[in-house]
Amino acid sequence: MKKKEADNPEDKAPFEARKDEELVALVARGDEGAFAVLLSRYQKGLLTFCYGFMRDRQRAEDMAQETFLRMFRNAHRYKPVARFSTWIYRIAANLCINELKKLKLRYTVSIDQPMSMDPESTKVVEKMAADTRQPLTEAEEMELQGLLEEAIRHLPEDQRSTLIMVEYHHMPYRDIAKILGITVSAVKMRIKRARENLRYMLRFLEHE
Amino acid sequence: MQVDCERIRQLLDPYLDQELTAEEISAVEQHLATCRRCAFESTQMLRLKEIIGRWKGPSPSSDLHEKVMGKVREDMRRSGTPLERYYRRVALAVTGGALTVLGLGILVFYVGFGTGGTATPDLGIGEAVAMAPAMPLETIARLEDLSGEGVQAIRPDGTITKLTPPASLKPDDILEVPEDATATVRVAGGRLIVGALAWQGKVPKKPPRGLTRMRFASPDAAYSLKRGTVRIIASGEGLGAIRIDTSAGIAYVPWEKRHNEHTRAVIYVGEGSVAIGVVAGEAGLLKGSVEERENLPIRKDELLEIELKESRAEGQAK
Repeated sequence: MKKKEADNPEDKAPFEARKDEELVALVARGDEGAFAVLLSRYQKGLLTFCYGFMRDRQRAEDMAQETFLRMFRNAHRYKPVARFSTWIYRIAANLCINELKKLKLRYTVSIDQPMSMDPESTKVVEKMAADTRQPLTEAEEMELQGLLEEAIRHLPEDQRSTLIMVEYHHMPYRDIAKILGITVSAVKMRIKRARENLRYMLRFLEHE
Repeated sequence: MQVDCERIRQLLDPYLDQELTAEEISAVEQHLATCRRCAFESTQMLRLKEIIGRWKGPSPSSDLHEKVMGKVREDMRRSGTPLERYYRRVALAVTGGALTVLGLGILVFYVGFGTGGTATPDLGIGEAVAMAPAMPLETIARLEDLSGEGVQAIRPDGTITKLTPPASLKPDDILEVPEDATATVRVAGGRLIVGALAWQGKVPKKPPRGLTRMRFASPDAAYSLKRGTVRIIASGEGLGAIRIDTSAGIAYVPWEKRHNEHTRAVIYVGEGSVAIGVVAGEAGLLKGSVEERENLPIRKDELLEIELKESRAEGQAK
């Protein structure tokens, strides 16, 4: 494997500045440095993406690892007709969906069974709801992250994965539709339902 | 464009996600300016979106980067770069080396059409390899997985689809078969080209020595193929037989007018468990299920089913 020694951080600069599509072409030729940059760029995003399906951090990480390996093995087949991000997320989505089928882990949650909520913990949500620009203390931030994590985990898999693509990855609906192999209408419906469920779970029911 | 409250409820999410057209945005904002209830709802949804947007997602473990790099390095060490791997598959097909389908876990299918009536050029394997990428891909190969292990097709755009039988492959699909799995490939129409190996090899004048003849049993029979030694030879009744190129791949004899339902098929496994395809003449391959248990006859447009398995000959040998 060709190695690009990176003793000097400046040696990384050429790769860091390159577009994904250029790096993939180098990966096809076995360029480790190019692959490392793509890995750094996408590891967090892919992990979160896979979490949307797997609902379990370790499983999500396993899927993310497998996605990178598939990306590497198929780098020579990538054609820049679609964006690289769409390509790799599509690989990840299919891996996750197949894995879920294998594991038969289709999590669903009934809206009639809301997640348990510590009355104290809703205060941070109420505070945010009043003014989302309000700064939070470190403790409040941790609480919020925990609440959001729990609420998102409780969403049905199709809603969760789609919502994460919108809210975390900021993907356009049409890209999401392409990645998941569904229609844009289906994307809209999933988003709508996910937000309704989250609103309920976070007790975001402020009345006029 | 006028929208009512009911319509606003449908448009609110895409509005917040900036997915509306300019006209729709204008209509929504006009309504929100005049409808207190919808305006309140919109504010609530916006706050919800902002709160959700603060979610940071799971953190990768500290060694994720190294783990992935390690796996890729190991992959490279075993198999070379992605491009080297691809070209090596072509080279193996040409040289008759061990293109072990199950060992590699990857079977590459390119499916081409028979020329339907026109004379097929008589090419050697080397020439066929050079031509293969340019061959028209017009036929779909059907995959039937009898193992239940799970076979996946990786499309050129990166989509990975688990194939549940009966499934269809498209041209340029890469078929990934788990180790020890059994995959049955059914080809309808045209030629099945394995890797870059097109089945337009020259017809040997006489069968090579030391090869084993095997008769096909029913389509569900599980034949295991011995490395480099199994050859199934059709024996027609004085009619043209479809022969095999002995060096590596599979050749076919163009279907001639004198061929009829008594002509048998010839399938050859080269060195190693070279993936097998069905070869037939220009008149097309077999279709439909094969019911005869012995001496498989091929009729025009009939479908022939071949099973790939571990490399151990089990069939009847002559």
